[in-house]
Amino acid sequence: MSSRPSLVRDTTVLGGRAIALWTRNPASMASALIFPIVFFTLFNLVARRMMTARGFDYAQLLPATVVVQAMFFTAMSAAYWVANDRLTGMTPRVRSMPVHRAAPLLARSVSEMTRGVISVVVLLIVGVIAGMRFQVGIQGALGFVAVALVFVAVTSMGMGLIGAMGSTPEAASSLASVPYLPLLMLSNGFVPVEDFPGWLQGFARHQPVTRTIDLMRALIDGGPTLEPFWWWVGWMVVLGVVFTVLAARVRPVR
Amino acid sequence: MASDDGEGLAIEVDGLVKRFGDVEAIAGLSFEVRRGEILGLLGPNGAGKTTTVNVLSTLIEPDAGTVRVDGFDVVAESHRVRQAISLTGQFAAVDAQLSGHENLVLFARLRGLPKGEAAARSTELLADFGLTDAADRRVGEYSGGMRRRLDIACSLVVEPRVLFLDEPTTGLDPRSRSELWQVVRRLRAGGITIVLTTQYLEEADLLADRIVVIDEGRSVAAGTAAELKQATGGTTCVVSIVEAGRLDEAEQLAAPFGEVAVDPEQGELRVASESAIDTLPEVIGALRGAGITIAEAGIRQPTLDEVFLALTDRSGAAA
Repeated sequence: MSSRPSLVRDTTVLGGRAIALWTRNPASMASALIFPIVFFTLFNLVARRMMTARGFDYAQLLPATVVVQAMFFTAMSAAYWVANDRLTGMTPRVRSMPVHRAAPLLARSVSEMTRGVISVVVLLIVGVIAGMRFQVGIQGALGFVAVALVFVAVTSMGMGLIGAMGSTPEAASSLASVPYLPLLMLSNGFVPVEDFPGWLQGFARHQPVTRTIDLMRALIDGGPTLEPFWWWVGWMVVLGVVFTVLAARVRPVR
Repeated sequence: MASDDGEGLAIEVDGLVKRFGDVEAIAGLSFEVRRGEILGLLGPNGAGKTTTVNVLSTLIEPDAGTVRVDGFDVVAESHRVRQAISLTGQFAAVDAQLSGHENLVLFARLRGLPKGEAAARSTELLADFGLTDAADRRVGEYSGGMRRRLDIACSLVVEPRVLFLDEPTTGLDPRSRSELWQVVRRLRAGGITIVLTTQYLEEADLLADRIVVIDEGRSVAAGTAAELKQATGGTTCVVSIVEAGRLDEAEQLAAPFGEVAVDPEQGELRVASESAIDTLPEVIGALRGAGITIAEAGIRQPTLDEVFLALTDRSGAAA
C-alpha cells in the first residue's frame, strides 16, 4: 500500500505508451524517415562542389550536421506531445497518481530516442552511399549513434519544457522551432566557424550544437576525440541537470 | 492502511487559500466530506471548483490553510494522498489513438498491477461500463458518453478511497448524462467517497448527499439539497384555473394569503407564503367560493436554480 513508485516500471509503461502513440501516427513515422533523406540529398546537391573546391571532404562533414538536424526535429515533437498531454488532461491525471515524479520526463526522452534511432540509421546508410567512411570502423559508428541519442534525449527534455509553455500543441510546436534555427545555423554544421563574423565566432565555436558536431565528426574521422568529448559531455550534463530542475518546477496544471 | 480518524472524515478543508498572481482563486474555503458520501461542489464557471479539486488531488499546493484527504496532509504527505485518490478531470484524459483496453491496461500498470492482472482488470471494467464491444476500437471512434465512461473506468483500475469527478457531464448529450448519473450512483452504492463538481444544479440535486455552493472562491452555502431549498425561501402554492379571463380576479382573491404572482401563459397563480400546506386549501376555498374552476393545484419546492441564483446573486439583483 505504501510502496514507493518505481522509476523503471513507470518509465517503461509511460515510454511504451509514447512509442505506441507515435508509431501509430503515419506523419510522425514519415518525418522520421523522409525528412533526413531529403535534407541530406539537398545539402549534398547544393554545397558539395563549393566545399570540395575549398578542400573539404564534404561526405565526411555533412552526415553529422544532418543527423543533429534530424535529432532536433525529433526532439521538437516532444514539445507537441507535452503540450498535448497537458491539454487533454493526461499530465494532471498521471501526476495525481502514485507515479514516480521523474518518469514522465524520462519516458518522453526514451520515446524520442526510439524515433531518433530510425533517423540516425537511415542517415548513416545514406551517408555511406554518398561516400562517408568511419575511419576507425565499428567503434566510431557505435559512438556516433550513442552521441546522437544522448543529444536527442537531452534536447527532448528542453523541448518538453517549451511544450509546457505552449497553450496548444500547435503553439508549442511553433515555439519549439525558435531555438532550432539559430543553434544550427550559428554552428559549424554548414560553414566553418572561421567564416562567421569575429564577434560571433566565440559563440559559434563553443555552443552545444557545434560541440556535438565536433565530436561526431571526430568519431567519423577517427579522432582526436578527447577534447571534443569532454566539451560535449560537459554541455549534456549541464543542460540535462538544468532541464530536469526546471521540469520539476513546472506545475502539472495551468 | 490509511488512518481511520474518529470522525470518519474523508476530506477536511480548513481555511484554504490559493492565489494566482494577484487573483485569489480560493479565498478561505472550508468544508468536510464524510466517508462514503457524495459531496457536490456547485458553482458557476470560475468559482474555484477545479482549483479546489487540483489542490485536493496534490496537483497544486495551497498558499494557506490545511487540507487533509483520507487523513493525509496534501502537502506533507502528498505521496500517501495520491495512493488514496483518483482524479477524473474536466476533459476525458484518455488516449484517442489507443483502444479502450489499452488505455485501461496503461493506468492499471501505472497503479502497479502486473501485466496479467492489468489485462484482467481491464476486461472486468469494460464489462462493468458497457464497453466490452468497443474494447479493441480506437477511443477516437468512441462517442462522448463512451469516452467519459472509459475515463471514469480508468480511475477505478485500483479502487480509490476518494474519487474526484470534475464536471463529469459537461458537454454530454442528455442521454449520456443520465447514463453517467447511473454510473455515479453505482459507485456510491459501492461506498466510494466522491467529490463531484458541477455547474448543473439538477446534477448536484440528483447525485450529491450534501452540496457546498461556492462562488468567487468562497463557500456561500452548504447542506443537503433540501436544506438549501428550505434556507432560500418557503414553498409555493401553484394553482391553475380553467377560465384564463378570470386570472386578475383570482389574484385579488388569493392576495390575503401570501405574495401572489401571475403567469398568464400558463393560466397560473403562484402564492408564496410561510406554510404552503396551510395556504393551499385557503386559496382553493376562496377561488371556489367565487365560482372559479380550478384545473390543477399543488405545492412546489423552489428549484435549485432559484436557490443558486438567490445565493450567488451579488450586484445582479440590484441591476
